[in-house]
Amino acid sequence: MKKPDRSLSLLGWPAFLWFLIFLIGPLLLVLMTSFFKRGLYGGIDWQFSFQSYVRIFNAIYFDIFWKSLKLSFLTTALCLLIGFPMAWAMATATTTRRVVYVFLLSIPFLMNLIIRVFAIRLFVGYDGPLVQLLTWLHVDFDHYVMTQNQILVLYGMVTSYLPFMVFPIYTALEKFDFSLIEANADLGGNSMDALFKILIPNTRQAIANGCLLVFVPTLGEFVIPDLLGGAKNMLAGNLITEQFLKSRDWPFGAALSVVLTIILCALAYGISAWGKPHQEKED
Amino acid sequence: MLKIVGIRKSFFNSSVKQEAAVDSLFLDIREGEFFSLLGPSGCGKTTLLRMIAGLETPTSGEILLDGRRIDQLPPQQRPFNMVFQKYALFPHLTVFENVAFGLNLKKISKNEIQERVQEILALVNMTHYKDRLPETLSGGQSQRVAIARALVNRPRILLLDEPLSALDQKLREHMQTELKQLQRQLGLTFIYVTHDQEEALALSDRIGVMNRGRLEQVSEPKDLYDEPRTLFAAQFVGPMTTLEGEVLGMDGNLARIRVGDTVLHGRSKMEEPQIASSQMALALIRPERLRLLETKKEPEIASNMNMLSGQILQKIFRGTQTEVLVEITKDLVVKAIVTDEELDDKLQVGMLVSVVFDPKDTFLFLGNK
Amino acid sequence: MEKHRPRAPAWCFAILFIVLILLYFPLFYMMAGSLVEKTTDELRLTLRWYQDIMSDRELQDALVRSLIVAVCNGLLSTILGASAAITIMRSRFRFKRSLQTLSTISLVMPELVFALSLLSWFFILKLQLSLLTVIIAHVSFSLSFTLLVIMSRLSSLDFSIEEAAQDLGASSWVILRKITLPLLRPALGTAFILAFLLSFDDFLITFFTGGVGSDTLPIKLYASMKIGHTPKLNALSTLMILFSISFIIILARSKSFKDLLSSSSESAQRE
Repeated sequence: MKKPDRSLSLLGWPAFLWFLIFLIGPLLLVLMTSFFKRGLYGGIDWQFSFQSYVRIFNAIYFDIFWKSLKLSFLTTALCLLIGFPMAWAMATATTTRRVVYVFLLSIPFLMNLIIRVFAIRLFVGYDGPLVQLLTWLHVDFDHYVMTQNQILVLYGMVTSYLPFMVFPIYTALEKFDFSLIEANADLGGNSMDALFKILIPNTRQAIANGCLLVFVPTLGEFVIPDLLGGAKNMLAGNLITEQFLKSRDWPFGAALSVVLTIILCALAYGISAWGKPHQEKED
Repeated sequence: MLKIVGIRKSFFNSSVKQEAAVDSLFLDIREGEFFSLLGPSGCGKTTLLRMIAGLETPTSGEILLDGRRIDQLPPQQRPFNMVFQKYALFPHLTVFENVAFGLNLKKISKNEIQERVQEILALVNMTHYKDRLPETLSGGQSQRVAIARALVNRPRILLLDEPLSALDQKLREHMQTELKQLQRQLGLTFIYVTHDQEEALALSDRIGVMNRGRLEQVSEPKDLYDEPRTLFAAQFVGPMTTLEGEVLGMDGNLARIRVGDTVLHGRSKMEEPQIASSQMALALIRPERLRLLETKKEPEIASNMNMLSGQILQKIFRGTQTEVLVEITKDLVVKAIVTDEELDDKLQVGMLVSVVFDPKDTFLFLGNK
Repeated sequence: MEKHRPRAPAWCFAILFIVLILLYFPLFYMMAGSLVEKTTDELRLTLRWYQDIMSDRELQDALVRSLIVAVCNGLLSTILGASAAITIMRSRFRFKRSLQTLSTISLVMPELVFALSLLSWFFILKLQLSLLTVIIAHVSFSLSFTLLVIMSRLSSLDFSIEEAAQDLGASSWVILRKITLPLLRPALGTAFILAFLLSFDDFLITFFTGGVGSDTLPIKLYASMKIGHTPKLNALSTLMILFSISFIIILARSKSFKDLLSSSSESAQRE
């Protein structure tokens, strides 16, 4: 049992105040802003209005949100599809190899996102190796497509966020009692049975965490679509940014941010709810 | 010197209101004694010790030292020091710095600190290790440092929380001897928490047996072993052979119970009004007090002895002694301990024997298995 | 002793290797590009692009700014994070729970929303966008990371060590100074490096909260990428990668970071 001390409480105040001033303050401001009108020259006209929220239901914006959601879902699904087998392979490698794999995966993951995207652009870009390979194979394609493309955005998203999926699942599998897999084999199950009947049901929580860690940042992603997608492929993140930086329509940008946050919270709640109760029942 | 008056401690869990960890407990500790708090894990003995140290605040009740209340004082103002279960040595300080920690805080002169630390390290035979870091020490050495770190402050009472439980059997026995010797040499009061009844019996001047937050019995080791006052104390301390039966009533100063077809006499540990009612009771006898005789020698048995007849089921050799299991009925097997080698040789599996024991060695408690 | 683990099917390993190749090949290709000069029909090894960087005043200024921001952020986040972690784990602070909730909010908030809200906040407060606002923004998002690192270390410390100090007569401030902080030193180092790295590599938040003349290296990189690429960019990226990797290696060796990684898979659920 701990015996907390009152005088140490003083230490809590700086961080607490910092969060209040530079986290809660700004977030409340955005929430408030979203209910005001746009000022004549940008900025805010302090008049209460639902106008910004109504505007979101405009087909163009609705479409952008829908496209962003689809892309995030697709990214998450692909990350899971690729990430789970990776984590499984990593967890069953020898102890020394496991460390190497974790290290190899975490390096690009901790590296500057801009550099990663830049490297991808070089790789698939104008005279990059991919284009040369395709030319050499006499595959017909539009050179322009290779630089401004939604597939490219997806590729960028998946490679950037894959580790967020792999690490939680790997950590869960690393602690997993693999004698269950041996029992499965002993009882006549094949590797697909092992995957769907043993591994996945027992790592639900880690899978939920992984999905959460991929889904949340991808939905608000701004850099990857900006650098890989080009103007035609605007996503929610770019739309919001534009309201703040170019159109200077803060109330609308704020309303978009609020909606984005609400969607994220709802989905995050849904995903983690999927991971939780079953975990408890199976315990 | 230390008086604990009606102390109680309950921890509140957000979900469940638990029963009190320590409940209305009274205890007197005498100057210079080696007092052990003995009980199973979770019985509240460590909580009691931590309340004495000041690491927990009692929910109610008082702790008095020489008649002065100390239960609201912070630990640093109590003249006690504690030896923690897993030593709790400061990993970033050397042995010397660990031991000097308390003295440094008291603003004692450098020379005196040097002197006192050296002296205490010599006492626990750790002088050579004074510049080592704790992680380089063995379990026994760490324990010596932990004891030195507490003793160097010259506490009025040394509090020890299962200090030997992390050591292996051999080392533990060795450290027990050292601890006892240290305590005698210094004439210091020790309060020692343990779940190991053998350890408590070997070391203590007095033992307090605790169960579910309450003190069951406070006695000297020999009394505790020979005169357990509660069923829990009887079963927790030392081996017991247990027979279940029905209370028949009093017979002089002995009580009678019926076990199977046999009537046994024993010393009643039941309260007077309970005896008449025909309740279930347990008869407890130390297995070494059970004598085994070949059935044909029955006439030699004095008539006031308790006796059960049965057949030897199994013999288990335990080195200095032999355990003999005697089947009385299908449902009742009695364990006796035989230390006499001659007798041991005579007893064979399958032999019909009488199990004989003195009513004054038989304790009767209410209860059932 | 480790029990034998039945290996995952071969196709799992195949995916693992393909992904690793796809992750690394573009990086190597980019690094290789930084050492090559292309003339009409000839490739030549060269260090020219690196020399270009060395003589580029603007890049050097950006580097200095990046370092200033990263170091300030590292120090501030570590100090604030440590004091908050100690409060949460070791005291009776009234807003203990709220502090934890706040840190969780800053972790799960979409980075973009976070950056834009700070931008409008600075605007309302009439704070000129500068290196100062960048540092403030960085601390606001690094703080929850340092808090987590230090908290996970504190929870793995044997509390009876601090109780022993208390028993020997130390007040809570003495315990903090003589016992807890020295024992936390490795975690403080980890927290600092983590905050430093987060800040050094950050683009998005800097992009929105920085003003004219507060461009850090990632911002410069982004700006020049928007214009088009030159091998000089390859060289700059390569240098930044090497710089980050050296810190990542230090991070990976620290125990508190491993503690955090293993606990994060469980704690993320509580969000």
